[in-house]
Amino acid sequence: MSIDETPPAFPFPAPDTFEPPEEFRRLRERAPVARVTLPTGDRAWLLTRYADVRAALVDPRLSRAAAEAPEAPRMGNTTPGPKTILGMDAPDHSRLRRLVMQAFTARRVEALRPRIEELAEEQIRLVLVAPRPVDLMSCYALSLPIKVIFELLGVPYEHVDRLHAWSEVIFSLGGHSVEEVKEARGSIIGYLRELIEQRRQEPADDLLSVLVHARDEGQQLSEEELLDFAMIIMTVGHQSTANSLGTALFTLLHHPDQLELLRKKPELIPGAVEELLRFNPFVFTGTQLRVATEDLTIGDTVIRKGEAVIASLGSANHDEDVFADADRFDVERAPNVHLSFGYGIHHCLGAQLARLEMQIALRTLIERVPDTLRLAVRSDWLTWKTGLTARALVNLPVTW
Amino acid sequence: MSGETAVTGRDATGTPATTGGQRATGGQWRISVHKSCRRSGICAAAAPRYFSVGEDHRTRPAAEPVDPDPELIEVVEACPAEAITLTDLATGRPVEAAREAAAEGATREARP
Ligand code: HEM
Ligand code: HEM
Ligand code: SF4
Repeated sequence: MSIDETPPAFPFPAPDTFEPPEEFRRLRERAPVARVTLPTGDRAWLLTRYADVRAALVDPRLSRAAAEAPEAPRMGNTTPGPKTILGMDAPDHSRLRRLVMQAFTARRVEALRPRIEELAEEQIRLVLVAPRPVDLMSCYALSLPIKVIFELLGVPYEHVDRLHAWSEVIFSLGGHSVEEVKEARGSIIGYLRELIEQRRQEPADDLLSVLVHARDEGQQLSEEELLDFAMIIMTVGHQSTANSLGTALFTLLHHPDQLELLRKKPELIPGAVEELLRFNPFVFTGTQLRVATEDLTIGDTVIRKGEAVIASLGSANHDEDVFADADRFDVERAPNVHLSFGYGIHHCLGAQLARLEMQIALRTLIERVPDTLRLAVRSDWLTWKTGLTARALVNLPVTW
Repeated sequence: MSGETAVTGRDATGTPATTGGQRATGGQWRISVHKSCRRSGICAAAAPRYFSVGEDHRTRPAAEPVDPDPELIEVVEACPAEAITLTDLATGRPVEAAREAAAEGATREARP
């Protein structure tokens, strides 16, 4: 496709119905590999079908490293960076992932359960005594994941405000210039450098210490990798969980019958979290761009070397070929093979932690807040911010 | 992956064939995926010779026993659900010295 009229702009405009953009359904039916124009003006191929999305995410010819090259098509001003875990391909990626996995084993994550429960309890007490309406976004959905991630890394909680301000600059697109983003990154890195030095002198029982001492057949994380990684855990680790949790709470408040069902049968909560992750109608990509390292074919479409591919998790999760009645929110849906944590070698490292946090957050909220809990404003009055991969709530005022 | 050189292709039955790199002791390995699998797709992406994803979206290991390969041990360690086990068919026991064998394999390849 070289003589193209301008392909449609992506991300598609958000509908006001709290449903996924209509374009996704149309494309899945008629043009599952579609040319789109990104906010930067660059072009990309958008994949909307579940089967194509999953196949693309395990295809080694669709590279994250190539997407970090200076001349590669871009979604926006910021990318994870070529030296980060999400900017690498195998075998560099495998080595780094193996090292950091040591800090995210199933056992390590499960061991955090009692502490996350305590933090959720602490946080819900603040919600309960706050003047109503209470903003669940700032008082719960954002603060809980931040506390968890800080606890995990071993960052003293007194420093939370400073760090959060920096990570906001990095992650909220639009409002900030490239220089501001750079400066914020620099500040976080400077802060972490000090912290790492402390852990080197005096190991503690936290993730940062595990990372400082992570060894793999005599190899170790380099100073730069360690810094980048700690920074990523801090920013991604709370932003994604907070956005997902906020949207999850909104979705439940918007479907009172389903919330009621969870109150009656709290044993449904783990399944409900999976469904909340799948249903999230505000995710448009959920993954970073991949770039083809050689010509390849997806369906009937030839993707040329150097062209970008977007695998839309949001669309895949609503594909009727895989999910019966896909636009229906059903906490009892089973099986639920959603792709919300990605697929393949970059599958979310924090998936188990995020699941645990969301389960505990929901259970604590349901147990502790009276069942008259409801939105304090009309749902069309809520404010949303549009990032590069998803729309997320800015606030969520509730009362009871 | 440090085990790349161990596997060079498939024989006529589709079973991965290997050249060299096996340990002197122990027999072939049977791979199994436990139902605690969270369908991350990590194994299928990292080692498509040994893992595939079915129509039912389940992850399946190669049906036939395979020759020992350090790459498999890396995949076992990369599985976030700790759902993959390797059974040494000579002893009928799990491939236990997993870490050591991986380290051995890596060292051997680094210094041929
Ligand atoms: C509900 C919350 C979360 C969602 C929906 C989510 C989603 C994702 C997705 C879709 C990817 C793959 C991106 C791609 O392939 O382009 C990913 C990767 C990643 N996530 Fe998460 N994530 C969440 C929470 C977390 C948490 C809590 C952490 C850390 C503590 C984390 C750390 C990471 C890392 C390090 C990667 C990159 C892995 C790699 O490249 O090997 N995430 N996440
Ligand atoms: C290895 C490191 C990184 C990983 C694993 C990673 C992963 C992710 C994931 C999973 C998301 C989707 C979050 C969601 O909306 O649910 C995301 C969004 C984003 N990431 Fe990263 N990221 C990394 C590093 C960075 C860095 C260093 C920057 C910038 C300096 C960055 C900038 C962004 C931006 C701007 C978004 C969009 C935020 C939004 O949608 O609101 N990422 N990243
Ligand atoms: S790596 Fe583990 S969890 Fe992921 S698909 Fe393979 S067996 Fe399942």
